Amino acid sequence: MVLQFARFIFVTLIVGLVLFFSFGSKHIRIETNLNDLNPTKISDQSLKYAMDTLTQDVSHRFIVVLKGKEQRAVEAAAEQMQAQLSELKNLLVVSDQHLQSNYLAALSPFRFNLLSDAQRQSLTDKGINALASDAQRKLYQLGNGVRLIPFEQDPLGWFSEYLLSSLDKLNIVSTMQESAEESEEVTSSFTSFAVSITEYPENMAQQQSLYQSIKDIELNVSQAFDVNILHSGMFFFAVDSAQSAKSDIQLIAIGSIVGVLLLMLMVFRSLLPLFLSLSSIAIGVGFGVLISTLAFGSIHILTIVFGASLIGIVVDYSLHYFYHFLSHNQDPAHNRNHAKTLYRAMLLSVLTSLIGYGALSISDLVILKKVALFSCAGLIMAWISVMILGPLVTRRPIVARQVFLRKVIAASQAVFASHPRALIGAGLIFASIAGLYLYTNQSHINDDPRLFFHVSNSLLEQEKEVASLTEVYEPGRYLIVKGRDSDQVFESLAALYNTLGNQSRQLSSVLDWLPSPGTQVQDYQYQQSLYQDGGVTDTFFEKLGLNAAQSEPIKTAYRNAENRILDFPTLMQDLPSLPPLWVEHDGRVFSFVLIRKNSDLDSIDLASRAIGNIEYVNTLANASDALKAQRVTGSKLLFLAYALIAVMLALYYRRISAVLLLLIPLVASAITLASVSALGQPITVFHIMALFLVLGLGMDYIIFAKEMTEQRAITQQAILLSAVTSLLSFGLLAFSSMPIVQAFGSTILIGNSINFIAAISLFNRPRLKMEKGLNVE
Amino acid sequence: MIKHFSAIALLYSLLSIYSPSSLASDNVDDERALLAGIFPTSCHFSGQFLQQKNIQGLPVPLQSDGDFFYSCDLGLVWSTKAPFQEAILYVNSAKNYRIDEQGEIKPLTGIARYIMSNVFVKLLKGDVDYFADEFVVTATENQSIELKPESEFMQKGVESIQFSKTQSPELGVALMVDVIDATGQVTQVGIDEIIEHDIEGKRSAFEQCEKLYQDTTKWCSVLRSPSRFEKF
Repeated sequence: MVLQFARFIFVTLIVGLVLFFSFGSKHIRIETNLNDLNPTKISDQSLKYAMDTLTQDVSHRFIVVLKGKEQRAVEAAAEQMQAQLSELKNLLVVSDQHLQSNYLAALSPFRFNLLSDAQRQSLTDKGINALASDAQRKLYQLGNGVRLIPFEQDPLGWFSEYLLSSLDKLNIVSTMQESAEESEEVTSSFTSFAVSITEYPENMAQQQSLYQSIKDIELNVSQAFDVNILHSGMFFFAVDSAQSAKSDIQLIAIGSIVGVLLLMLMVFRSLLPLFLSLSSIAIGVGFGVLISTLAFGSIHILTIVFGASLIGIVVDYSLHYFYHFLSHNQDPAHNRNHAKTLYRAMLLSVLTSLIGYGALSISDLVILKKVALFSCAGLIMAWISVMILGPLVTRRPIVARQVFLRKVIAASQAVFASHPRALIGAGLIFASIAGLYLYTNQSHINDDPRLFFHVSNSLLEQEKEVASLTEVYEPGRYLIVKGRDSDQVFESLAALYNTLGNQSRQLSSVLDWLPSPGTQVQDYQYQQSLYQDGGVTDTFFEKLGLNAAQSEPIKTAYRNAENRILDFPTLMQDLPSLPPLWVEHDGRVFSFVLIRKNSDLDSIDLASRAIGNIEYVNTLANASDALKAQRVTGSKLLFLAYALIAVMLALYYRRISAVLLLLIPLVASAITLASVSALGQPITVFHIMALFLVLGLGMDYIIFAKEMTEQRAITQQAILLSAVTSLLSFGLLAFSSMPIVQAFGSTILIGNSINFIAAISLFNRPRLKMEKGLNVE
Repeated sequence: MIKHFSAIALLYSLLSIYSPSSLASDNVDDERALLAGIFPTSCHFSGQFLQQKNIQGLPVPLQSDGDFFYSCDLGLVWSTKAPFQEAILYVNSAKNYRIDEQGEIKPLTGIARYIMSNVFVKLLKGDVDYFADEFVVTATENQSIELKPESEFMQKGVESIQFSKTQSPELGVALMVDVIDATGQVTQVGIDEIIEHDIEGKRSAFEQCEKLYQDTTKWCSVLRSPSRFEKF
C-alpha cells in the first residue's frame, strides 16, 4: 500500500517534471549575480532593502575610460562611443550634460530656497547697497556673466552662482585629463563616462549578447580613433565568472557523464543498468532545477557547477542497488533478508549524504543555501527513482563483471590493507601532524571574499587602471544614516558635518545635492532682503538705470515661492541617473554618504559612532568578518555533525566503539586540510563546508562496508565504483578555474580518497572471502 | 603633471583649454595663417580696453573700460576703471585674483577662474595652436576672422568668436574680440593703444608692471609669486 502510494507520488512528480521541462522551460533562468557570495547578514529588513537597492544600482553601472595620445581623438572617440552605446536598448549613457540640465531644471523653481555658505555669509555681513554693487560688478566682469537661467529669472545671478559652486563640489562631471607617463615621458589624455544598464540581462545568453555588443563597439571605436578603451563594473565580472562557470559546467558534466557511461558499460555490459543510472541522474538533476526555480525564481550558475558534481553521488545509489540486489535475486529466503539490509544501507547512505549537503544550508552564504537545496532535492528524487525503478529494471537478470574491479581492489588492499593496524596508526599519526601543522600555521587561513572570484588578468588590470584614473570615492566604504523621517536624517547629517568640521568636505551626501527642508525654509527667509521692496534687487536695477517696475516680476516670483519645498525623493525622480543616496522603505528613511578617496577614515568612523543613527560601513571588512564567522561557525557545526552521527552510530550499533568509525572521516578531514594548505590554497569557509561532504560520503562507504559484511567483496566493488564516480566528479571540480569550486573539489577529492582507502582496507575481518553471486561473473 | 579640469565649466564658461574637437582639418595651415595675422606679435605689451556686454533680458548694454598689461612671463592685469574700479589678476589657469575698490585682493573662486585665464590669456599670448586645434577658423567679409567650436560639447558653451584687427594713426593697432555664447549673450572687447615693451625675462616684466601700476605695485608682486601672497 505504502509502496503503491510512493509509486503514485513518484509518477505524478515525474509527469510534473516532464510538463515543466516541456512547457515551462522558459521560466528556467540562469542567474550570475555575484552578490550571492556576500555573507553579510542583515536582520533589519528595511536596512537590507536599502543596501540591496544601492548594491543593485552599483552593480548595474559600469565606467568606460578612453585613453590616447591625441586629446581630440580621445574626446571624439568618447562622443562616438556614447552615441553607439546609447543605441543599445539596455543601456543609458549617464551624460553629464543631461544630469546638469535636469538638475538645473529641477532646482530652478526652488531657487529662492537655495544659498551657498558664502552667499549666506554675504547676506549677514553686507548691506543692501554693497550686495547690489557686487551683483552689478559681476555682471560686468568678462567671462562671469553667462547665466544658467535667463536674466529675468535670476537678475542678481545668485542662483547661477549657487548651482555652479554646487556642481563644482559634486564633481559629477566627465573628465578630460592629461597624464604624463613618467617612464616614457609621453603625455596621454583620457576621458571617462558612466553607463547604466537599464534592463539587466535576465539570462546568460542575453548577458553574453550585451557583452558582445559592448565589445564590438569598443573595438570599432578603438580602431577608428586609435584609442585604448578600458571598462570597469560588476557586469564584466559577472560575464567573466559566467564564462568560467560555463567551461567548468561543460568539463564537469561531460566528464562525469562520460565517466559514468564508460564505467557502467564496462562493468554491466548492458543498457538496463545504464538506463537506471542515467534516469536517476536526469530525474535528480531535473528535480533540483525545478525546486531551485520554484524556491529562488532562478538557478544560480554556481549551483549548476556544484550540482554537476551531484552526478557522481547520485549514480552511487543505482550502483549499490545493482550490486547488492542482483547478486542475490535467485534465493528468495536469503534475498528477503538481504533486501532488508540493502534498504537499510541505502537509507543510511542517503541520510548521511543529505546531512552532508543539508549542512551547507546553515551557512549564511546564499549560494551555499542554493547548492544545499538543489543537491538535497536532487539526491532525494534520485534515490527514490532508484528504489522505485530498480525492481522494474532488475526483472531481467543482469551480469556484472568483477575481474577488473577485483584486481583494482586487490591491488589497493595489497598496499593498504595488509597491515590494517599500521594503516590506522599511520592515519592517526598523519592526522596528528596535520592538526599540529594547521594549528601552528594560522596564516594559511584567509577570509578575504576577493579570493572567491576568478577574474581574468586583463579584466583585473583594467579594473586597477580605471580605479586609479577615475575613482573619486573610497570603494566599499560609506556611511548609512537611518531615520524615522526626512528631518531626522537631515538632523543626523548636520550633526555629522558639524562634528567633522572642515573634514566634512571629505563626504558626499544628499546635502551636496539639496539642502534640508529646514535649511530651505531658512534660506528663503534669508533672501527676503534680496527681493523685498527697496531691497537688493531694486537697488541693483536702479544702478543699471532700469526702472523699479522692471523688478516687479522677480519679486512676485519670490513671494509666490513661499512654502514650496523640494524634497530629495522628488529630486531623484528628476535625476534618474543619480545613485540611490536616499531610500525610503516601510516608513523609514535611509541615506547613504560616500567618502572621498584619501580621507581620514578613522576620524569619519569615530565621528559617525558619536551619532546614534549613523553607521560606518566597510563592506570588505564586514564581508571578511562575516566569512570568518561563517568559517568558525561552520567548524563548530561540523563537530556537532560528528557528535550527532556518533550518537546515531552508538544507538544503531548499540556499541560505544562504533563511534570510532568516525575517526575515518575525521582523519581524512585533517589530512585534507593540511594538504590543500601545503599546496598553497588558503583555507576558506568553502573548505570547511566541503568537509561536511567528506563526512557524509565517508560515512556512506563505511556504512556499506560495515553493513554488507556478508557480501564484502561485492560491497567493496560497489564502494570502488561509487568512489570512482564521486572522485571523477569532485576531481573535475578541483581543476575548476574558480577558486571556490576548486576549494570544494580538491577538499572532497583528497578527503574522499582517504575515506575510500579506509573503507576497503579496514573492514576485511575475519577473512576476506570472495563471494560470487549467481549473476556475478 | 596631471591637470584637472571640471568639464562642467564648459557648460557655462566661454571657452576651455581642454575642450574637445574633431580630428584635424586639412586647411590647418590656412587657419594658422589667419590667426597669426590677427594675434599680437609681442610677448609683453599693455593697452586700453573697452568692453560691452549685451545680456538677453537686460535692455541696456553694459559698458566698461580700463587698461591692461600682459606679459607671457607674468600673466595679465585687467584693470577696470569705469563704471567702477576693479582689477583681475590672471596668473595661470589655476590662480586668479580679484582686487576690489578698497584694494583688497581675494582669490577668484569657482568657475570664474577658468574663463579668462583659459581664453583671454591664450588670445593675448597668441596661442595659434590652441585656437587652430579647437576651432574652425574662417575669414569673414569685414576683414575679421570667425572661430566656431568644432565639437558638439564645446558648442554648448560657445557659439562663435570673432577677431578683427585694425590700425589707425590715433589708436595704433586695435584688436576687437566678439564672443557670442550659447545663451545669446554677446561680449565685445576692444583693445587699442597697444604698446609693445621690448623687455626680456620675468624680472624685467615685473619691473615694467611696477612702472605701469606704480600705486598698486602689490599686484605685480602677486603675479610674480602668487604662492608667497597666499602664504600671507
